[in-house]
Amino acid sequence: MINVEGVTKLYPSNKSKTKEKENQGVRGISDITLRVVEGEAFGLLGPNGAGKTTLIRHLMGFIKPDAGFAQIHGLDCWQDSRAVKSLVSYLPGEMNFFEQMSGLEFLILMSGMHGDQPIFQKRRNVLAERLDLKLKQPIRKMSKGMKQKLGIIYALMLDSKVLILDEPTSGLDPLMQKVFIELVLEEKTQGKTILISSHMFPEVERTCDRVGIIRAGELITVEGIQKIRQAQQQTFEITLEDAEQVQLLSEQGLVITSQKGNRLSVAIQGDINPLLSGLAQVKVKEFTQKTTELEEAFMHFYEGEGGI
Amino acid sequence: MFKQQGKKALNCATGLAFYNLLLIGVYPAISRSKAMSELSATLPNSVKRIFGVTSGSGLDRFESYVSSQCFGQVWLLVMGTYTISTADALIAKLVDQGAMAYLLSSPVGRLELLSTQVGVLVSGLALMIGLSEVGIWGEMSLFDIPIEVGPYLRLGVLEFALFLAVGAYSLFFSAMFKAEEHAMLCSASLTFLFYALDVFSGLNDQFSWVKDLTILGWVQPQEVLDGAVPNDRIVALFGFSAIFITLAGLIFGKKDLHI
Repeated sequence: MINVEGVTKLYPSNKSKTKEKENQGVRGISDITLRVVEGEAFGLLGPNGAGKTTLIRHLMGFIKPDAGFAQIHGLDCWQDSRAVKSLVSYLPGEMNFFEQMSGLEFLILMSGMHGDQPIFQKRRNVLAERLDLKLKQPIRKMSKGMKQKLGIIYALMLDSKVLILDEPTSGLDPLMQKVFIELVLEEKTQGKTILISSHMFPEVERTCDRVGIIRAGELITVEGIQKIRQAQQQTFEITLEDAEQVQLLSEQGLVITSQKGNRLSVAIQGDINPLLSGLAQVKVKEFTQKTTELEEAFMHFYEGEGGI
Repeated sequence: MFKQQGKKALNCATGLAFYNLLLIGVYPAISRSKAMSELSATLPNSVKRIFGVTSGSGLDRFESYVSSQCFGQVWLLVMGTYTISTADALIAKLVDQGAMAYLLSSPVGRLELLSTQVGVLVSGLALMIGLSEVGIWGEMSLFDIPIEVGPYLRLGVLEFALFLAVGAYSLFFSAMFKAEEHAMLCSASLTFLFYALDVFSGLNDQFSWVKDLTILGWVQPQEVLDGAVPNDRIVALFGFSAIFITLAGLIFGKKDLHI
């Protein structure tokens, strides 16, 4: 459904003054290739300035690639941008609306520009209720989180086949983040293709099938969520009875990342059996597994690729 | 979009109508004033020219008075400010602030969107000039000042063509620059240059040829109110506008938009 092939867009850095620096001072995205199949949810992860939004701008036909191409449903995102946009719902990363309008006026305007189908109004009302947003409020009086909700309502009310969501939960409180994740999962069950760009890991972890990690304009890796979870490092906090027990466990060849008195932190990569064998030989007072989220797996991937 | 810009146009036009009401209200007193006749007779033509009086007559004639006051500096300033700020708000501001992302995320082409924005600009200008003219007619009938409607209509069309031209190059800059303030600066600077050339052309007969280099020099309200038919100038100004709107379309249709 979404096909990005060797897309490159480079900008000379404004801050580069000397010629030598000019060569280094290039930002943008370089040779990005990825595919998102129909019905798949794909997460684009990376820190701020990594190039996520630049890639999305290519998909929306806002910028023309220096090399390569981006397609949605076989249509070129630059050449056939009008046709592409009739398939796509887009949530921009920056919530800059028409401040003089009310939320409702904005949604009515955008419905009209998308062909004003009866289902838009139905979905709009349901979404406004679920996200608890009063649409008649003037946009200029809305908080950042309320504007984000308005953006989400706009993107989801259109019932498009493809959803492109740039930093969708930015500014939302945890309760609304949960509602947003539920909404995305519902869209997913309807067979929609979803691309979410984020630097917030939980939303991607809970909604996406695969993740592309982007850094300094390059796509470092594309992996399934399951594989990243499996590859992630697990950390266990263990408190033993005395120093003798600590010494005994230390001799088991485990990776001990920290030790404070009788309390140890043990890091396990992959197979957990060596830890279980070691624990069978000592007296354990307390044993907890530290919750690891995709964020840690992500950091691990980065470190594995040469560090951040 | 028109709802937002139309409100601004209506506010400006209402302000101008009240300003004109004040000016026209004091005209009967001015026209009867001997001192005013003597003062306007002693003013050099170059000074009168700067105030919009082009045929050498005094400020006590109603046509001279209207062209110098109702369509004079204040009117030009308000219209110029409205035109430049509206052209800026219709493209550059939306791109700079990011709201253009919503408009362009819909299946509406960039040129279609630009055409809509041109429509908003044109209708705003028509509203401003229409209300100015209607205001002047109404105020003149209020004070029992007889006028011929035809020349005022022709002047309205000429002024509309002038400000459409200002709006067209302002839209061009609005489409060209990434930053809103750069677009505004270029539009305002070019307009000021045209104004300065117009003033300069009136200082001395030797410089009168400079008048042809500035679009503001193509519009002489008093000549039109005195009966001149400025069809060639209207056509030239519409042509000027068409060129800049086409250029704006070419740029906006292909430029990278970081929204």
